[in-house]
Amino acid sequence: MQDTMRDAEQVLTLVWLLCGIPHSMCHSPPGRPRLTRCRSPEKETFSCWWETGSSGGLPTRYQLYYRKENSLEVFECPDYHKAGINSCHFEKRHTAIWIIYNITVVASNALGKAYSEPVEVDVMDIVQPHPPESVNVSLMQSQNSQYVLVKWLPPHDVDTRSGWVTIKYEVRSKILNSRDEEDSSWESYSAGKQLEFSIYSPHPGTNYVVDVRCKLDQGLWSDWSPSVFIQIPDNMTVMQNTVVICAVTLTVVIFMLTAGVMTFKKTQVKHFLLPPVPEPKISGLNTQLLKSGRSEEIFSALITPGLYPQISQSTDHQVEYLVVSDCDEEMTVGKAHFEIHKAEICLIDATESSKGNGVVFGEPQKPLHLNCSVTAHDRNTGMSSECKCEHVDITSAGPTGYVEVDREQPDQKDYSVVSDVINDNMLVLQDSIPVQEHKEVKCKKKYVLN
Amino acid sequence: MAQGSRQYFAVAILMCAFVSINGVGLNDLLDRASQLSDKLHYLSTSLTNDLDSHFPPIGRGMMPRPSLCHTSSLQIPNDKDQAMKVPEDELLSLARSLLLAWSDPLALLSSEASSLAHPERNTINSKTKELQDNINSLGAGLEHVVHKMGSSSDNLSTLPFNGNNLGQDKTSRLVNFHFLLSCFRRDSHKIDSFLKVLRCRAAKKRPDMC
Repeated sequence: MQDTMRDAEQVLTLVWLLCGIPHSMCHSPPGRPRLTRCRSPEKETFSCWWETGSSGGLPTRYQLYYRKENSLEVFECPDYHKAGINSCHFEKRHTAIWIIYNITVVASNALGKAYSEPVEVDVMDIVQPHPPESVNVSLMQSQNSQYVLVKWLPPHDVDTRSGWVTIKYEVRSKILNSRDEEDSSWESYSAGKQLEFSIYSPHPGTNYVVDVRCKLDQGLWSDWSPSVFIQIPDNMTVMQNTVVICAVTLTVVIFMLTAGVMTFKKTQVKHFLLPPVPEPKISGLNTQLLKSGRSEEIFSALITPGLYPQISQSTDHQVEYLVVSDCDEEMTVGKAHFEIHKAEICLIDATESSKGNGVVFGEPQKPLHLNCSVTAHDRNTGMSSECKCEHVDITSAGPTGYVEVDREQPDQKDYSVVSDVINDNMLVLQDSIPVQEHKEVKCKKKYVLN
Repeated sequence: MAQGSRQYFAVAILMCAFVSINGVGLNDLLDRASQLSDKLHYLSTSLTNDLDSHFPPIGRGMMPRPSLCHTSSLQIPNDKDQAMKVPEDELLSLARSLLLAWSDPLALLSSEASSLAHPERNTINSKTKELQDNINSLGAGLEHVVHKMGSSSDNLSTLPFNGNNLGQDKTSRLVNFHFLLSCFRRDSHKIDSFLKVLRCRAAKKRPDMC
């Protein structure tokens, strides 16, 4: 071996000296090849690759020879083609583990041979699988959070079911920032033997790139799988939009409902919001009749049998209504008590300027025409007089139903005319009645209320 | 009545204890053993790298051939197809034989590590100690596995180690240290491979054990 080497060197030097200038005419023995690496992708087969030296201008042939530990027998490479050019592939029956292979590559051409540096290889040290296959990545929704699910398959030539090799995976991911010049750094996760991995809480509105690689037992890591990309949608915008849309829709619906309710139940709403002040109700007095304006009917409606005691009896304390007013009669000095018959509603209108005024209880909404008379009877003297009432128009004084009849002084509510309150349903009004003569008659009117 | 219930309770406790001692399944035992053997191989590789970082070039030439390892006489499967044909009992006994063959040599390595002529001596020393502990744990674990599997303990091959020192001068001591370690590294890989095949075969219905 040494002699051959020395001869080869000498020949080489000679040839080189001879072929100084006409380079294209030069031929030489081949340069030394070099074994670059050997790999076993599944601990069952392995391949070795070499790089060539100079070809020396002549067709050069490369051969690989190997010797196993404890044996002197030399074998040639069983397969030069399966692993590509300048390679040697050892299939299953030529692969043994826990045995050292002594491998040499020989380059030969017409002018000589060149031997590579021998390399010692034990299959257990050169195990490196191919990358995982069919890597796919998807965005998943779980409860209120999102996560990225990465799934893959083992390399197709690895047997993961016999226990001869134990595969282990690693996932790495990175956020791609198109805005920044520099990308963020890789995050690595150990995935054990499983074929999927979840990346929780991905940053919304970013692009992720994910790679997977594997190794067998304590061997070498494979290359990273081809990168897969995934876009995480902008979570906050989606949520904000949803919230706003819901709020607006709800508001519109409520508004429409309220408007509808208000339209259809206007009066009820109005009564709910502005409750009416309760009005005094005179039983038997029908507002519809009042509106119709026919006084006979009104009066007849007021008289309902059984509601009042006999009409002939005029009791002081059962009358629910009425008030009597002025008289322009000349009276004798003394109290004059007017008694009012229930059937009569009397109004006296003073033609002169009168301070008197009368008040009618009731609920007239329209002008009321009354025809009445009043009889004054003096108990003391036995005198009686009669006043004739005139037609009076009564107009409503306000929402309370009080009707104030006072032509001369429409606004006067003169409580000073109450001179006495006898009991809780009797008021005594004092009034001065102007008379045509020089005498002034004072009439005391008794208001009997119910 | 109270007496009877107390007895019943005691029996239940005893049964529970018995089950718990023997309750660790074979699968779990083998899984634990595989983890230990994996660790063993990892440590030996790491130690080898530490040694290689400052190894004298001349030492490589002086290195004995791996065939001179004291365990090379043991007949083992050399590829996957052969390994798949080996019955479980035999796989277990191979692993145990190898493990047993290394208890003495590792003790020697451990004692020599502290006085090694190497800049990484301290690291090497601590790792060697760790190696020894792991071997002892694994040995104990495999004893349990034997009982579980019901195989006999007499199947072990003896692989005598005839070394009481590594050499006279510091270079030869270093070289022999390295050589022993490389032998152990290969054997730890064998043990690891056999136990993992055993683990997968024992857990027939659980592919996640393979």
